Amino acid sequence: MNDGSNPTCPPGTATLLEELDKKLMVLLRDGRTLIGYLRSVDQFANLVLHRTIERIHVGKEYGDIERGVFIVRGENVVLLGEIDSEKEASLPLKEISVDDILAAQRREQEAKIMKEKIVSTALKDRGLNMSSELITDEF
Amino acid sequence: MTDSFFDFDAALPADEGPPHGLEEDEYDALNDETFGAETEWHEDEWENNHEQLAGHSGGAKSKESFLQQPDDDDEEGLVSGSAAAQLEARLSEIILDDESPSKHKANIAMPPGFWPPIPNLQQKQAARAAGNFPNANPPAIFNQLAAMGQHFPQQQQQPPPPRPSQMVTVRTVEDLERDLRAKSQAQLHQQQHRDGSPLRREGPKGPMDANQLIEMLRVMGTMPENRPQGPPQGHPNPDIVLRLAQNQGKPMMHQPPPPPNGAMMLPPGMRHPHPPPGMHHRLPMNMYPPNFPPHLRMRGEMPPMPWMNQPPMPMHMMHQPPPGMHPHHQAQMMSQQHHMMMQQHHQLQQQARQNGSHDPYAGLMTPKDKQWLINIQILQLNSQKPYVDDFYYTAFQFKKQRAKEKAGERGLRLQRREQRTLEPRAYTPAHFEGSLGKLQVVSVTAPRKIIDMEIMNSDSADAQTPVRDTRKVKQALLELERLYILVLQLEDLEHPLPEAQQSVTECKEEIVSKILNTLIPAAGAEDKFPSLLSVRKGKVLLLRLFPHLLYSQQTPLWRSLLQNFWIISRKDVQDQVLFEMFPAFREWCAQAVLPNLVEVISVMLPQKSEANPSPSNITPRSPLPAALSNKFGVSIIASIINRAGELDDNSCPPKTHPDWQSWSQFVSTVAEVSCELAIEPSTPLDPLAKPNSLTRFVDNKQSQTLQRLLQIDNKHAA
Repeated sequence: MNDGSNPTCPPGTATLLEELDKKLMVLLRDGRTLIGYLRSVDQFANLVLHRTIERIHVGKEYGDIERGVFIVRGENVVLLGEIDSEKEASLPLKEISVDDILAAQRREQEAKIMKEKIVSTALKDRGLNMSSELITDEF
Repeated sequence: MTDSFFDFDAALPADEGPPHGLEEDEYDALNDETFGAETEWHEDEWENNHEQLAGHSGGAKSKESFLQQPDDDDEEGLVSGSAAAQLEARLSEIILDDESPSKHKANIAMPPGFWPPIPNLQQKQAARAAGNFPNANPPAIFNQLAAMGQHFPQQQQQPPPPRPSQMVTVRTVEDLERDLRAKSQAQLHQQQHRDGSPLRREGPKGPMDANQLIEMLRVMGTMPENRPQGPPQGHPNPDIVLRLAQNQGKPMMHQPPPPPNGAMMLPPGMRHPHPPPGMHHRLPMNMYPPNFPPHLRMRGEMPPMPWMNQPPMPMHMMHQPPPGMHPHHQAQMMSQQHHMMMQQHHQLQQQARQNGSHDPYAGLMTPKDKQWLINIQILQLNSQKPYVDDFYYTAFQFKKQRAKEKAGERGLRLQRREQRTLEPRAYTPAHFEGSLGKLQVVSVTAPRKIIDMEIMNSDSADAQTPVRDTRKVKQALLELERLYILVLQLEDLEHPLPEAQQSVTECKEEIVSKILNTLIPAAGAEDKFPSLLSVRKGKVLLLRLFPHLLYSQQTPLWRSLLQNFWIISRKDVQDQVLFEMFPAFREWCAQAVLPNLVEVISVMLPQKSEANPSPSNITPRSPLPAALSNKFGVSIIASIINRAGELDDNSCPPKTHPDWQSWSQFVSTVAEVSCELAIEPSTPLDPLAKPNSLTRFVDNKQSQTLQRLLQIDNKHAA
């Protein structure tokens, strides 16, 4: 690509500039998955995502919610990666409507909470205290 | 009361006060006006007005398409053809007629969304106000305007806005700037000579001053938008011109201050000062939207018209709309601007001949923006000691360079990244005279000081709980971190890179002594050795440390290792790192003399009663059983016995040395314990070579046990 107008980064550095205008999947710290076109970045890795959809996965199903333009503060990003359009076209997962996926997600959350309760009571019975500092999951 | 100061009757209506029964606080005298029968609050009144103004009822539809987000299919035009045509048609229809104010139509055809509907009443007022201009003193105002006009570019001969078919043409920035300058030059000459010639192609030939006045205002109104720090600059001029217009006939007492940079020279970084093309869509000055803040109206603040932004504008121009922009207005404006820009990008894309799918939003980050970001990153990379700050990059470059040199090329010396350093400025905090309290001035280079927090560990002898365990592990890890830094410094001292060596400020002995202070407890101090070595990291630390230690320094470490063998071997099941220490031990052992051996094995002898009470929680049992059941331990013992045998053969020290007694005690203990072991002991890594060494110390039975245990190869029996 003989694009003389695009400046190159110093060797050995990582930059998000190569990901501009690509369709990316971004995983946020609160567990949300956003898919959108990366339009702009800055020195804090804040992202401007365009035509963003939020994709919720439950089991083998997923649902997309249209969100539009997102500005994500850099510290909230866990990871991001380019989306392969061919693989995206042939996903083994089933897409369902937004309401359905939200309901499924709610059910999954409830099941998780129930399970946690059972586990913690069982541990308490055995004299072990499940301390919160041992659990570092943020979602 | 009906004084002559005002032309109209300014007498106030008599104040009635609250009616009977209500208190002053509860009574709202103006309530009826706002909500009561006095108002004619029809829901659709404004809607009807709007429809009239819009001209037709199909306005809603085109508005939708106007503001729609482009889909992937709709690549050809962000503005659909019909909407564009409508816009075009309306723009050309807007004609301002100052000469005959009565001609002002109430239904000025404007594309929906540009303005909120203007009630008829205010329009007529505006028309009247506009019509007042011809009465002003033409020559004086004209001269003033001419003087000011030199500072502002005039776009009178601009072509009309492109027809829908021509929407595709792109005028590059350079073209626009060239036009701009050419025209301003032409205008300057023209203005000085002509008198009353029309300022624009279309439109009536009104009085020169009025047109110029309006021209001026509009241009000045747009100027603030063009500069990010523009608003303060833009204000004085419209203010003064307006006052000029309102003081009908009064001569101007003062020159308005010229804009600081002149209109042509915008602050660096701005793309162009290009005022919009198509001057014929002007409104009389006082025709503001009804909800425009009145105080700003007085100041002559003119909101920049959305359609004036057709020339390409970079994103950052939109950061500072002139103050007082009505939010409703602003939203509309932003969407219009956005639309124009998308159009622009789309056109650029077509021009650039992008292969593949069209992405009208691509290229939002210009190369300039990218360069700016890269510059910041380069700045962050600047360092005086790259080996310390940027270790991995430096080490990698070093490896590459060495590989190159091996391959024969004589390459450049170790290249650093491009450095853009600012000169280090000595920072003195700003001092304010006569201020109460301590004021803080922070900047990028000298930020606010944050409270320095330290983690205080409270030592409490609680019962062992899982929480306590993790905390202990964490403490051990923290301690290991500290030690690792020291070990890394030791290694750096022998690094081929001179920078690496220079980065270490202390000498070897100091560093080593620091490390050993932690690993080998001082008298009475708590022994951290077992906790450190329970973690994989600790064992690896020891591994890396051994090559740097003197022989005499290693001995106490081995001793400590054996002493705590129970714990260490138990925690090593997963890690299996102990085996890697065996070569080091073998080396040590090969050089050992008897006293050293005795020192090490002393921990394995049965404890005497005067064993010093250790505050730590190490089990006081002999580590021998643990050692024997562990392969590593057995190997250690075997090596020791080997070495002792060698020493014995060489008779150094002589056989009468008291140390040999300890030794024989040790051997018999080993034999005893191995007999008592419930599980089969493991085989050592180095089998015993000389069985004869044992016979001196133990009786036959034990010797045989030992031999079996230690896998003595009978063929090699000397």
